[in-house]
Amino acid sequence: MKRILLIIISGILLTSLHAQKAKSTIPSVTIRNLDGVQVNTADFSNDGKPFIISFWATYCKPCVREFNSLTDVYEEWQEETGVKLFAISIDDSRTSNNVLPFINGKGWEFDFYLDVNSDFKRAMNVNLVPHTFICNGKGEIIWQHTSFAEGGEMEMLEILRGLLIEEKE
Amino acid sequence: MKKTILLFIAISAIISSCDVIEPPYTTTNTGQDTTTNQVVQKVYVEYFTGHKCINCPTEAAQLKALKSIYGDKLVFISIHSGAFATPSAPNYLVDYRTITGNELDANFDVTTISVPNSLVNRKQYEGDVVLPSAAWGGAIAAELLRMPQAAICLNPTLSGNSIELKAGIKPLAQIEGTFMISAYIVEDSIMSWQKNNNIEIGPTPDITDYYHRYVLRTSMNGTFGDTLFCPVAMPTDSFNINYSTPADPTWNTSKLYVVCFIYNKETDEVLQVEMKKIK
Amino acid sequence: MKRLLTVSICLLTLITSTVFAQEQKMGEIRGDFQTDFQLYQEDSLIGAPPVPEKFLMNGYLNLSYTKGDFSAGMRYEAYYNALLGFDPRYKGNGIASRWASYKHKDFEITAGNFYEQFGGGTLLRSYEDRSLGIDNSIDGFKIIYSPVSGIYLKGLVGQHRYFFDKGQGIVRGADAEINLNEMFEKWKDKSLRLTFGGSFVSKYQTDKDPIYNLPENVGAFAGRVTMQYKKINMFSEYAYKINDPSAINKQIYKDGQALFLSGSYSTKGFSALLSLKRIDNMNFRSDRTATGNMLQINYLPSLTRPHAYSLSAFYPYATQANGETAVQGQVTYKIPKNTKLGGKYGTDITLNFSRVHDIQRNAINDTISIGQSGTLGYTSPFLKIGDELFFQDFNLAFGRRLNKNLRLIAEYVYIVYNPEVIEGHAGNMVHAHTGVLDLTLKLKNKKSIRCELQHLYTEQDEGNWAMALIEFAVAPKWSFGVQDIYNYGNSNSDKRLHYYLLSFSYTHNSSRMAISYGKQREGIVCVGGVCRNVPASNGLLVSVTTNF
Repeated sequence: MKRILLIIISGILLTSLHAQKAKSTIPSVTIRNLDGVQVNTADFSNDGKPFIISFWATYCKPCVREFNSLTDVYEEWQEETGVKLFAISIDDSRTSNNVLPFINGKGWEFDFYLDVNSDFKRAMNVNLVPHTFICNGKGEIIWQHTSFAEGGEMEMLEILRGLLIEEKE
Repeated sequence: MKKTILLFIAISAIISSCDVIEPPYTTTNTGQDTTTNQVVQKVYVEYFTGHKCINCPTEAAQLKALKSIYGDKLVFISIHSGAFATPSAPNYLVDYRTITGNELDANFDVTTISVPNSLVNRKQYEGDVVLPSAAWGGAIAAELLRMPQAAICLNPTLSGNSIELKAGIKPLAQIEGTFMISAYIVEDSIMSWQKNNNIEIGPTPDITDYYHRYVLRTSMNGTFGDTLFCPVAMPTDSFNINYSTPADPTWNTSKLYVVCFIYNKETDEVLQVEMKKIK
Repeated sequence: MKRLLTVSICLLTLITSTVFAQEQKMGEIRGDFQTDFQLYQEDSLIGAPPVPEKFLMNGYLNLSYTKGDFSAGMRYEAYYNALLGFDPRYKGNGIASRWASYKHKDFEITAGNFYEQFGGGTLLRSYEDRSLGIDNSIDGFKIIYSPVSGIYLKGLVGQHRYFFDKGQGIVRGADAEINLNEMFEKWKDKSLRLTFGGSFVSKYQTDKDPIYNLPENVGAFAGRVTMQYKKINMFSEYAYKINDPSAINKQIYKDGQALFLSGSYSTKGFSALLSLKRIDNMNFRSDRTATGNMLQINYLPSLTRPHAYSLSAFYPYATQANGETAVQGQVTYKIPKNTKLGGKYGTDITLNFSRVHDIQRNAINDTISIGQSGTLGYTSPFLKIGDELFFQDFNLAFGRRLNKNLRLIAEYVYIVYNPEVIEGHAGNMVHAHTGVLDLTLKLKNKKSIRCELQHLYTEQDEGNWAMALIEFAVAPKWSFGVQDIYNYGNSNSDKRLHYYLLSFSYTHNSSRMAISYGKQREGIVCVGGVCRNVPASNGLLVSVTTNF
């Protein structure tokens, strides 16, 4: 009986998945920036330009690979699309003191935030890291992707270019 | 302003709660032992352990401390089961595992949670059936507060190579439900090696002359027993049963006991237990 | 029956509002779904036990609804039955959590199950870690209020989640944090940034024990300071807990203390970090009889580097809540590009060292032994370090881009591991040296190959191991992998086994399916005084995760 219910629930949800065409916005959660100041995620914006939100952790190897690949192209992308990357670290108090030394050691230049108790990760329904979202200029989530393999950043560039074209129209 | 007051009240309520205990930290318990012929409620504890479990001697000592308080009212047996009870060379080649023990372990999922753990009257205590040592005292005390609802009289004898059990069960009140009767044979004070990490109990890392208490050897009528009565038993009823089991030659016949208990088939809860030495 | 009804009602309301959700005025629904299931085969060679169900599965579904300042949600979990290695008391199905929250400007109130952390978590942290089977959400009320800019106040009360039920004790807590730079206009742009915080947490549980006089209310308080000045960062937290006899500390009446200090200097291309920790009797659970991963109020993370490679993660350290002193130091440096040592693209080096000892324990007097139940236990001078070594980890890692398409990571890890303390079973101190090479080659058309070679050398425990992995990925959707972990150095020739694994994953945006087939080693998990055996397994594991 319970298993049938599980199947029914899954079925209804999958159909409602297609029914929902409205774009999601970013939920309102309190996280901190590297200066220790509390920030509300609903306030994330990039002056009307698109932005990327990416969840990562210092011990997550694919996340490090993704950020290394993005660092290589970040400057070009910023020139072309004006994009900004908000990197949300889910490192908890075991490794959160290591985040600033870690990113300085790698030479990454994104906007970093700390989500030590995974509140933002939960609110964004993220199960695995890396998990990356692209939001348009209005702050609506239009694309997301989990896991990373080399070359995956090209898909992100295509989405960003698509947004540019859309905005010009 | 209102919100600040709300929070302030909450915080003061929280801060006002702190119990710092002054010595003595333990209460000397008289155990209320009776020397009358009245029927006493006894509690049945199945203690799951293993000879390679380094924390077990400390936990077993706690059980023995409770036994010294409650005496005969506490009946406990040791069931060796799970990964820490497997034999391994060169000093732990003894195998105390039994079919009955393994079946109980699988049924109540004990050693897969952790070892050591116990079942107290196979009953749920504060949300758990499988209880860690810190909960045994409370669970045993709670069970012993119950009024006895049945009396079990045991007469086990050893004749030749066979253990014979004559048992009489008498309900003291109307009991409803399907009740099973189980009889297990346990051997006390078996000496062999035991892993240990507590200097207070014995040498570490091994105690070479550890006395394993009341070790389950076999069941007389199957792991889960036989049906005793269904659907109701009255105080006017009385039940007599006879069981017979061959005695394994490796057992020390001077240290054998029969543990007999009746339990509710639906809820698994043990109603009454009795233990008697085999003459 | 009640549960079915509740679930159906929740779903009906959510679905009907989904239809209307197309106009954003009606609010937003979001959720995520994850399931892991495994088909088991008996394998006596590796010691995999027979699994009578043959098929085990864990499933999680999160749903949430947000409209303006109001949001609500629930989580449904199902275990038919729980995967091997998870606590078997996760059984059946049910609503694991449900909550409603209202957030407006500086005020937030939540009713139902919530997660929260005070400071570094030394006093209170309720969180979820599905891979470990930890979910100690608090079911009750939480209020967060910021009366002025820079002051943040929190208050909460509730009971912990315990499988599909509630834990025995009641947890109450309050936390205040003051950020001087946000509070005072003059300080806003100062280069010195200071934050102070303080918290108080207490728990209540009745005493029904016949032997011990147990405290029913146990309180603990903590204070913390965060300081940042230009390139220097410092964080420290101190916590104190009154007597809390429990299963983990063997019913001693000693108070508990924890001190954590961390300082770092970091600038672009270089950083140095030093952390110190001292824990003395800080096991803090809402049920004093709880063991394992259940019902913890606080979070005491280990001060050691988490290892991401299979062989270097063979001997992980677990914090000893009953007492430990630890130190960790780390230096990272990026050799600049276009230099002789750094190569064309630069090389990053990380040097990390950590060491954990017991605290010094002295007997109270001649008649009471150290740690004796029903007494104060022991005394421990604050500045002294115990003699017993629990764990040591020295590791060196290099990361270098060899050319446009080739990236190399090389790591050396030397671990000293005390199995008696960490795993709870007798054994010699393990000295393990591990070397790792991780090479990624980027090919044309978003394809890439990754190769890992690892070797573990040790004369104790199971001897030497070797590992090789090849992974082929077509970004962003596909990846295939083959892996073998070989215990060639085992002193018992019957145990020189290959643990092979074939893996495949398919990702489409936020949905991912991963399948792996092969053998998995066994392990022992010990927390506090109680151990659990995680058995070896052989079979097919499928994980599906998505969100919407």
